[in-house]
Amino acid sequence: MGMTRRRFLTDLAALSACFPLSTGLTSNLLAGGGDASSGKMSKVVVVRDAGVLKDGQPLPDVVSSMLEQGLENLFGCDAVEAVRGIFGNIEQVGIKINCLGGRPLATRKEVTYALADLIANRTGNDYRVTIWDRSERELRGAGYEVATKGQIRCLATDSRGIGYERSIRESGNVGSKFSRLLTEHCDAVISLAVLKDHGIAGISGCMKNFYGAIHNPNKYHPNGCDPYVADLFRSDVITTKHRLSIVDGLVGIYSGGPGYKPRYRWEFKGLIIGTDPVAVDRICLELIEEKRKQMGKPPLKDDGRFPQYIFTAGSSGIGCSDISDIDLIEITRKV
Amino acid sequence: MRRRRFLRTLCMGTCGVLGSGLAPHTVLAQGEQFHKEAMFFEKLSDQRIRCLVCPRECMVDDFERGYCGVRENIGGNYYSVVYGRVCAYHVDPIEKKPLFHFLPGTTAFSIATVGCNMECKFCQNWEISQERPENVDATDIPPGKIAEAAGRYGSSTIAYTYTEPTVFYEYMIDSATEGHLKGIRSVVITAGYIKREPLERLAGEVDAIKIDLKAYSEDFYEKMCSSSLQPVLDAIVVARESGVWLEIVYLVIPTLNDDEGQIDLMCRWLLDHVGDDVPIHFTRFYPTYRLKNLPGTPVTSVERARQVALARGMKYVYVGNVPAGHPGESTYCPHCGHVVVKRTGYTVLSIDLDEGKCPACGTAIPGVWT
Repeated sequence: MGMTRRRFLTDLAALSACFPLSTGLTSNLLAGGGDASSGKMSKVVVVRDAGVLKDGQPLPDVVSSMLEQGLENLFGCDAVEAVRGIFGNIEQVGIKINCLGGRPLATRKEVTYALADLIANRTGNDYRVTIWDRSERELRGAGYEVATKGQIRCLATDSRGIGYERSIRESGNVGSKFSRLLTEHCDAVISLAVLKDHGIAGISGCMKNFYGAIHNPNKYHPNGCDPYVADLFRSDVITTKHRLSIVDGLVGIYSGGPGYKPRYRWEFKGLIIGTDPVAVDRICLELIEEKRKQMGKPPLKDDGRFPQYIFTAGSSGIGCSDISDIDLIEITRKV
Repeated sequence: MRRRRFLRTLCMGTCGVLGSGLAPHTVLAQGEQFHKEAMFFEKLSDQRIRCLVCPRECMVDDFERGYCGVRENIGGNYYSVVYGRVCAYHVDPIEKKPLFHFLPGTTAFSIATVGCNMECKFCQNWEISQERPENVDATDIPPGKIAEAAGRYGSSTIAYTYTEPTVFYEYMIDSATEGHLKGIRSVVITAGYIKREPLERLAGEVDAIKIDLKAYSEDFYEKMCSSSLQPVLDAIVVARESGVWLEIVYLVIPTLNDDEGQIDLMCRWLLDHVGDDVPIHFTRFYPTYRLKNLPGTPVTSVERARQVALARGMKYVYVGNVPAGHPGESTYCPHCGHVVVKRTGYTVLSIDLDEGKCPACGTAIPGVWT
C-alpha cells in the first residue's frame, strides 16, 4: 500500500496528538512508550473492571471499552488515533495469541476480537489483521475458528500453506525456524498473552509468548528460560515488528501453570497494556507475586523459579525491568 | 538436492525399494501423535513431571514437552509422542554407523524418529533431530513390524540412529525385544547423553552401542552442543562395564576440537577408564546446519588424530569420511600388524579372522564377529 497525501496527513495528525514531537514515535516506542512528563522510562496501563465477567465469561462490550481506555491512557489520545499512530502505513498486523492452556486459559476471544476489530475496522486504514498461534488444534481447543480469508484472519503456523521458514535464524545460542506468519504475513505484531504462572519460567507473559513463533521452543526452557526469552525477543524479526504488548488478565492462574488448574483460577478482571514488553512482564510478575502472597503461596524465588529472564531482557536493552522506572497507570472501574 | 528433500526421498524411496512390507502403514498427517507412556520419570505436585531419561532431568509442566520435544506431559502423566512414529528408515551397511568390530559386512535396518536431547551446531541431520514431530512426515511402524522388516531385508541388526535414540527410548526397547524374538540384534548410535539407570537397562536389551564423544572439553559441549561432557564420559564407562559392545566416534572439527593435546588427553582418559581395545573412529566434519563458516576437515587432521591415539596406546583406531580405500579404514592385528578386516568405504573386502583371532599370530581381536 502506497503512502497517499491523505494517509500521510492522517498519520501525522495521529502522531502529533499521541506523542510529543520532541520525542517522536520511533524513539518513544523504542524507549518503551515512556512518558516524558513522568520522567519514567516506560509506561504500563492496567485496566480492571469488576463487571467484565458474567458467569465467568467476558462481556465483549466491557472488554472493548477496557481495551480502548487502556490504549487511551497509554498513548494520551483516542484509541483509534493511537492505533493509527502505532501502525502508520503498514498493511498487515499480526496478533500473536496464546492458546496453550486450552479454552479456560487461552487468550480470550473477546479480547482478541475487540483488538482486531479496533485495528481492522475502525481506523479506516484497511489494516489486515491476522490472529495466530502455532497450531490449528490449539486454536480450536481455545475456541477460535480458523479463518483464512477476510480483513480479520485466524491462522496457525501449521495451517495449509504457512509453515516455518526453511532457514535457521540465530537466537543467542539456539537456532530456530520462525513461523512464516510472523516473518511474511505480518508487518507488525502485537503480543497478546495470558496472565499466568509457569512451572519453569516463573511467569509466562508477553515476551515468552513468542515461544509459539518458533519451531523448537523446547530448546529454550533450560535455566528457567534465562536468557532464552530475552535472546529470542532480541531476534530482528521480533524487535523490528513488535509494537504492543497486552496481557489478558481477565482470568489467569497464580500457580500451577502453564496448564489450567481450576484451584488456582484467578479472576483478575484486568488487561495489562504497554509498548515495552519487559515492563509489561515486570508488572505481571508483581501482580502474580502479590496474588501468590495473598493466597499463601511462596514467592517464586523460594519456589526456585524466579523469572530472571525479565531482568536479563531489561539489562540487554529490550525494555525496562526496574519497577521504579515504570510509570504504572492503574484504572479500576465499577468497584 | 536440498537435505530435507534428500531425507524424504530416502524415506519414501526406501519404501519403494523395500517393497510392500512397510508401505501399507499409515503415513501420519502432521499434528497426529503416537503416545506411549514414558519410562523413567517421576510425578511431582501440580501435575508436574521430572524426566529421568537424560541428564537434563527436565521439569515438564502439563501441556509441555521436555528439551527433546518428543516427550510430553499430558495431564500429569508423561508420554513419548514418537512411539512408532518413524521419520526415516533405511538399510545401511553396519560400517556406516560406524561399527567396525560388530558383524562386519552385514546390514543394519536403520530407523529414527524426530527429536534430540542436544543441539549440536554441526548436526548433519538437524532437519529431523531438531524438529518437533508435528512438522515432519512420518510412517507408523510398530516394533514388531520393524523386526519383521529387518529380517525380510536380510539385515542382521536394527540400528537406532540418525537422530538421538535416547529420546525414543520406549520404542527402541520394544523394537529390540521384538528383534531378539526374531533373531535380529540391535545397535544404538547415540551421543551418550543418558542417565545411568536407563542406560543400564538399555545395555541389557541391545547388542552394541556407538557413542559420539564430541570433544574432550566441557566448554565445547556447552557452547557447541548445549549440553555437558561429564555425563557422556559416565555413559561410556557404564556402557563398557555393562558388557555391551562399545565403539567411540570423535568428529574432528577444524579449530574447535582438533587440538592434538586435547585428543591425547581424551585417549588417556579412554585408556584409564575403558581400556585400549575400544575402537575409536576419527571422522571428518563437513560444514552444515549452524556451522557453515568452517571448512571441512582435512584428511590430514583425522590422520594426525589417529596417530596420536595409536601413539598413546589405543589399539583399534580408524578414520572416517575419507576417500575410500584409506588404510585407516581397515582393522589390523595390534600384535603383528596383519590386516584382519580390509575395508574400502563402507565395503568390507575381506575378513581374515580365525574364530575372532588373528590367523597370523593368534591374537584375539575383540568384537562381535558372528
